[in-house]
Amino acid sequence: MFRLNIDFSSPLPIYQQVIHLVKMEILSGRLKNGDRLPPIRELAKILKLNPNTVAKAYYTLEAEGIIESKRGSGNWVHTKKAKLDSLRKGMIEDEFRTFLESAFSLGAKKEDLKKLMARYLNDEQTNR
Amino acid sequence: MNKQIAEVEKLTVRIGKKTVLNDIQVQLQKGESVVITGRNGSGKSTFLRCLAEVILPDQGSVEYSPEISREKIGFISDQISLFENFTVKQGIDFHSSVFRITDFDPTLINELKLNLNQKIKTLSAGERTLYHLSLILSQKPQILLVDEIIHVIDPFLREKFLEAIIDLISQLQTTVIMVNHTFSEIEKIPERVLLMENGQFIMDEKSEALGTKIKKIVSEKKIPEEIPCIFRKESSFYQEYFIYPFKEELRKKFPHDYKDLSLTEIIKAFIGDQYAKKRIP
Amino acid sequence: MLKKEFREVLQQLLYFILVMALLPLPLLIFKIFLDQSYFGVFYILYHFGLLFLALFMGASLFSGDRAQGGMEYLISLPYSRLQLAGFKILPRLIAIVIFYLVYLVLYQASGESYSIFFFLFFTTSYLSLFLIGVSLSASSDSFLVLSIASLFSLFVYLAFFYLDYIAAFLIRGVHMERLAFEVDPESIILGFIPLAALSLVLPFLVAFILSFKKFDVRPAKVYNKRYLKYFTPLIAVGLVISFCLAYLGTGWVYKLYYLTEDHKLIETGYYSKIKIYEKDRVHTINYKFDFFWPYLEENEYVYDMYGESVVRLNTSDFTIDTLVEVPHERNVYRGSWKYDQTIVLLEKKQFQPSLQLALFDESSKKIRKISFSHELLKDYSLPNIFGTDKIDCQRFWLICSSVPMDNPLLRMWEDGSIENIGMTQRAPCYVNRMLITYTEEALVISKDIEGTFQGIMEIPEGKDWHFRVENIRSNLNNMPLKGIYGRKWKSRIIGRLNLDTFEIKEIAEKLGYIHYIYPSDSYFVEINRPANLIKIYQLKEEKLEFLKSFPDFDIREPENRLEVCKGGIIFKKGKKIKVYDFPDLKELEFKKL
Repeated sequence: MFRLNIDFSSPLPIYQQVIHLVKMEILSGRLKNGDRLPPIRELAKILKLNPNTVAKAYYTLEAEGIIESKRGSGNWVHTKKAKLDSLRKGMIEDEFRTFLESAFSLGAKKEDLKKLMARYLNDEQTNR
Repeated sequence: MNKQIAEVEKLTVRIGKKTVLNDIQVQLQKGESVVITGRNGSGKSTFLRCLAEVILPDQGSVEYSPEISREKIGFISDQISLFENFTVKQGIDFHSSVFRITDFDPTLINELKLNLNQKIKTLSAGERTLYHLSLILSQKPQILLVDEIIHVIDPFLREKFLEAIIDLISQLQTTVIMVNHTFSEIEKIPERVLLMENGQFIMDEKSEALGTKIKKIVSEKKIPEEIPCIFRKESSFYQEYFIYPFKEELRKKFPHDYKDLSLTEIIKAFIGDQYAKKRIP
Repeated sequence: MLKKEFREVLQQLLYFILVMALLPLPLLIFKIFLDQSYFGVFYILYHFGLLFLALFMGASLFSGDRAQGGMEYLISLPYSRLQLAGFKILPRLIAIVIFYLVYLVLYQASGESYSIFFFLFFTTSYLSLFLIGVSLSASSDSFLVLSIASLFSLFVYLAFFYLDYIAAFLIRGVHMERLAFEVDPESIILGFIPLAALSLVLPFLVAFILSFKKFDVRPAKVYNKRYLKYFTPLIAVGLVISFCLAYLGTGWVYKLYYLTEDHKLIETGYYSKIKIYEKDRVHTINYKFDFFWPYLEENEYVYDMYGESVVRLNTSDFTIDTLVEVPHERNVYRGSWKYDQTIVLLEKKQFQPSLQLALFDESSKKIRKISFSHELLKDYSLPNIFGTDKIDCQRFWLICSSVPMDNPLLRMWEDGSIENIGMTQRAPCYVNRMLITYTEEALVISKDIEGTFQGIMEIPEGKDWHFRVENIRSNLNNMPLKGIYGRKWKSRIIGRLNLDTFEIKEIAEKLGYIHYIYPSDSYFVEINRPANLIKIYQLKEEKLEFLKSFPDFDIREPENRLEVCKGGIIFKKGKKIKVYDFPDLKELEFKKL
């Protein structure tokens, strides 16, 4: 269910990566509202993480309003639509920014990028 | 979470003329996971043995908080010491009676498909390690001390071992202290890193914090002197500079591509530094 | 934990039992081919085997764990170091005790008899070696090293232990030729032996306890250094104390005193040199046997015929002569008698219907043996010669048993024949060539008439009396007595039997004993126990003449002794000696005493 890859040398603290992972799963639709998240222990075992790290991630997710923690029964996906939208927007923007940084570091020019964008989006539209 | 369970004060251990542990001072918290690392012969195993009370110091002490009794300390040494002539079953019975365990959980034993009547000396290193671990798990230990055995056992059993430790941490908030200098899959279990050199801790940092405090610059040219470099690795194409302590101002002052490092690389840098400092006797 | 230890001990014992079981086999072979004293050799080996077992049991405390690679695991268990030691010592201690009990059973069955001195030495060594083994058990990883160290300690410990006593004896001027196996319990304060052993063992044990408390898995040299740190001063103190104890313990060497007629005081003791004190001098004589017991005095000679040899001490030139040497044998009874120049030694093997007399001639130094056998001798208990005489150039000896009522009196002739001369109710005597015996009706006086003893006189009122000349061990024929003294049976009345008129006269009623100093003088020692008072009287014919009082003397005290000798009386009170001469009991001074 989870496509999981923790990058041990990424600048992000591990718990942030876990949070990111969960968000990706929710945004992609693989995790829907009402789905149960794996228990802390299970996720820790799968990812080979310290359970405290996973606990911290879940705690933060709950604080951000992405998931809900119910005593005795675990953690559940419960994201309000508005939240989901803002999340999606934020993440897409992050991805985009990252793409742009990479592109510029390869020496891409603004014009090339615009052309490239248009072409791919047209293709997308055609293919849908 | 931040309750102290052990206090090590002025711990000194000598073997013959050599001072193996030199006036060590450190505190351990309940539920924390610690990795003790360093060069070979730096005293890591000796320190772990002191925590297990298998070595008694010449000076100083290891004080555990009152709720920690010796029955709640689990210790697997690099010798994986057990009574070899006992059968698997005899070992379980013995351990249970000594540690007053009433409900031994044979899951691990069954997973390994161990024959209850085979002698412990016939077990492979991996089987033995997991067998010892299953004995310790039944103690419901508050403290788990593991010496460098993780990488001696095969990857399959290694994973089982780690999963057992993770279970322990999440269910009992066991304080886990491991001695290692290879990391790979266990990288993200420890929250705290203690680096030992010459019988003393020369670094004591949270693993998360470490990631921000040490970076690497890969460059063909020499980097400015002001950048604090603790270790340098040369190859024919480029040089790697390990920067510690790293501060964000450095990024502004000396713009370079500061790379983030894995725990293994971090430790390698520190140890490399020690080797560099070492004088020829 | 205990279960594991018991199991381990049983395994270790199995090896030992195997060895001990196989050990007698070669000896058995020896017996078949060479007919050697098998049991004796086996017994010595068994003793050493037991000592080694004790050492091994102690030293092997951790060998099982070490062999299994479980030392670190053992130390990590939730027991304190001393608790671990306790778990290990207990089953081994029990094993040691059981083996000792088995040893005692075998000892009883074997019929050997060792002195209490030997037993004490052996038992304390046995326990000590176990404790020493325990003390050394944590010192090495290699069992070979441990075994060698233990064997070394075995010999060193035994050496020091015995050396203490040997040194103590030497300093006190005592002979060592036959030490250790035949010492009389009274000669050494036995309680000091275990104390001396303890002071040699405690350093090992204390050092062990102190260093084991900090025992860990560091290399053995760390532990050993700590052990030596504690051990060295302790053993130095221990050696000094054990020597002092040995010295003190041998201080109470039992001493015996004898005063000769010419007022020479002889002092003898176990393994001591013989000292002869004159007024202001002392002469020392070396003596190779364990104890010289002044038994009989004749002119310048004092004889010891009490033990297994006949030794003669010359009090004028201060020399000593071994006349006859007779080795000690189990179940053999010996008695002796002297007349003229002959010493007769009687030898009787228990339950045998035979008896042997050895006649030793003092001047020619030749021994002649005569054997006697008779059915009656089979159950004859402890025969004693009580008289001898010559009739028609044939000599005979009269013997009675220690239980006169059960066995008849026997006359043994020079030619080897034995004659039953009748029964007696009480111990008989032979004086003035007359045999005095007792029946239920009378005191009977018999004489040899034409080859048989025939009663010549019966004194009915004598039936309640008992006349004896007990402390005289030689013939009285040469010096006929006018009368003999005795006591009314089961009473305090003393009286005299006139040997001319055969009249019995009561003299006095007193508690005490009669002492004969022949030819004519006799003395009576009155003992007043509650008052600790001793009164000495002289028996002059039918009169009791008071001589002197000696107050403040508790005769029951083992260290107090009253000796009536030919020359006088010796009062030994603890270590104080007071000597009084006969006949007036004047105190004699010995400057060098």
